[in-house]
Amino acid sequence: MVMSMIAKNLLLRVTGSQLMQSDSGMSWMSQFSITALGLLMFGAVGELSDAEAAETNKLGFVVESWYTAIYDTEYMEECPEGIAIGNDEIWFNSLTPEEKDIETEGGTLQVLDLPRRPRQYLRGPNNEDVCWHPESVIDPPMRTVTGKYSYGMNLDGNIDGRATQNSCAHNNFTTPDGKVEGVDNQLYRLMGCVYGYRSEGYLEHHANRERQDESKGTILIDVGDVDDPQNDESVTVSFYLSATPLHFDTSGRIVPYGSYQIVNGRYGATVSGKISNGVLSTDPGDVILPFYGNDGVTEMVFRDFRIEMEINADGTRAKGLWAGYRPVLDFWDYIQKVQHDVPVGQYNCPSLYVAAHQLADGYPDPETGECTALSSAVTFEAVAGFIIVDDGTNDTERLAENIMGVSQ
Amino acid sequence: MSKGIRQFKPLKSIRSSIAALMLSLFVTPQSNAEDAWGGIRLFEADLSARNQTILTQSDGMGRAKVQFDLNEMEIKWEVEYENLTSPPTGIHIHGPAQPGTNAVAIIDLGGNGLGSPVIGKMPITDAHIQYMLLGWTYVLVKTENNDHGELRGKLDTVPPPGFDEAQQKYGHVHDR
Repeated sequence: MVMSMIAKNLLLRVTGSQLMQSDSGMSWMSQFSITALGLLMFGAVGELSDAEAAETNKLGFVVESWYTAIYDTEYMEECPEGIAIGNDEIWFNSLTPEEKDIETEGGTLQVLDLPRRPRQYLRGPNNEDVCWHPESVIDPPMRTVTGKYSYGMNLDGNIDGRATQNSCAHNNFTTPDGKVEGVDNQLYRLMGCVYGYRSEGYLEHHANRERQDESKGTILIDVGDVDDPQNDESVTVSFYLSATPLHFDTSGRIVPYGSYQIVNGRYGATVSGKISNGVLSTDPGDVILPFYGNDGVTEMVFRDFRIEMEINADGTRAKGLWAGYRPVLDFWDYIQKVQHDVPVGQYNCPSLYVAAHQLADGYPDPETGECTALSSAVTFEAVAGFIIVDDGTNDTERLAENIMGVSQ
Repeated sequence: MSKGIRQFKPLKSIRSSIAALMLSLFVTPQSNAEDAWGGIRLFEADLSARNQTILTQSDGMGRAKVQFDLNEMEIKWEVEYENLTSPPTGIHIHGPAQPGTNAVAIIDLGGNGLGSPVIGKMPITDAHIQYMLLGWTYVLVKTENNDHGELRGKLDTVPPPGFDEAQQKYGHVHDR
């Protein structure tokens, strides 16, 4: 039955491809010929019932890479106060001259070396780990972005930054191309001057590499109810965690149209959307996405989540942006779980903790009025794939092996 | 008094003279359509033996100011110091190194002499300016008694003119 579904998806792509120009240079007839061969190989014959047709009207994508949307310039004009201060620097400055010599071995012990690395965390008044007890010390204010531009979306619907029923007052951005005003991206304001999250930093490049190398935290995008992959006023978009490892070619690139089984019982949030001239966009909704990276495992919670994704002409790839409000508590859970990123990324937890609460611009607490979520945006690229949702024939042992890498 | 060390006025009075001198060095940022701050970046360092990674006995102190001009790809600097234990033997910018670690000298600030104030300018590479922007450079004043460096200070970014207004409009005002 799985193979039959694959064949049916191939049939849909043939129909769609007839309406698209192909960047690859292949005529739609060539694509049709290859697909016809595929259909013969998979033995798909006979007409589709209405129910089966509806079931096959899907587009699927596996997220190849994603990054926190950071607009950064070569000479850091968006960080006029300078790059964010790292935890190690604060620890170092707190030492006496004698301690500096001993603890750094005369400056030869690097920030990541033992025992320096753990000691920089344990600088609370009672030797507390300041990432797990960020309120145990008062660090200098976080250096945040001061700038006009950011990637992202207008989440609260205004361009003047005033408070709304569901947001707190804050300065807005404009997209770098000038096309979108009122962009809400306070997470960028918070992290944009953190070395590790900028283009020249290491953290998210490494996280993406890990996700690909280990096929963990792979996000699947399942677009359903698709009548026309170029223009469709009503589609559904669901998000899953993949149970299937990524499929690579010999050059290390993810192969289009691999099959990916979802992890049952997790994720699966669905939002409504549309496709306009090959660009998918959605209505707001609450979505939870899996996270794995830099040895951290957690989830990313988004409220008022929305996605904009441009599908390329031959349907094999897509790229876009998703945005929404991340609850500060969820964001902090992530920060704590990747605490080992602190010295590499060059930031400090206490300052970040205070600033995250100060910069929160969404979902005011009904009692205190303080906002509890950070507007945010993520850029991503994806590769076409067949998303296999539970059809009752899942092999749980195979799933366990795929996810955990454990032979049953 | 040892040769090479001037008699210093109290630091407070030096600052007013330095400020006047700085005006001639630090040009008001010109409008630059491609950079929000007119292509100017400012860095300063407080120089002290307390900032050293190696225990150093000295009551010396000083201050370094560096201006990077993106339009010219050059830096200008002024370093002043006092109360060194012995004559200076070298003044350099070291990097790249995260604060509290050591690095080699990459820019010689004393090419025109080591008497305070040390003033100069030179072209700079893109790599070196990136080190400065990332906070990975420090000024080191070496002396005869302290060849490992008597005074040290991290070069830290200084908000440029117009920052306060820009922060109100395009940033977030901290609770300081």
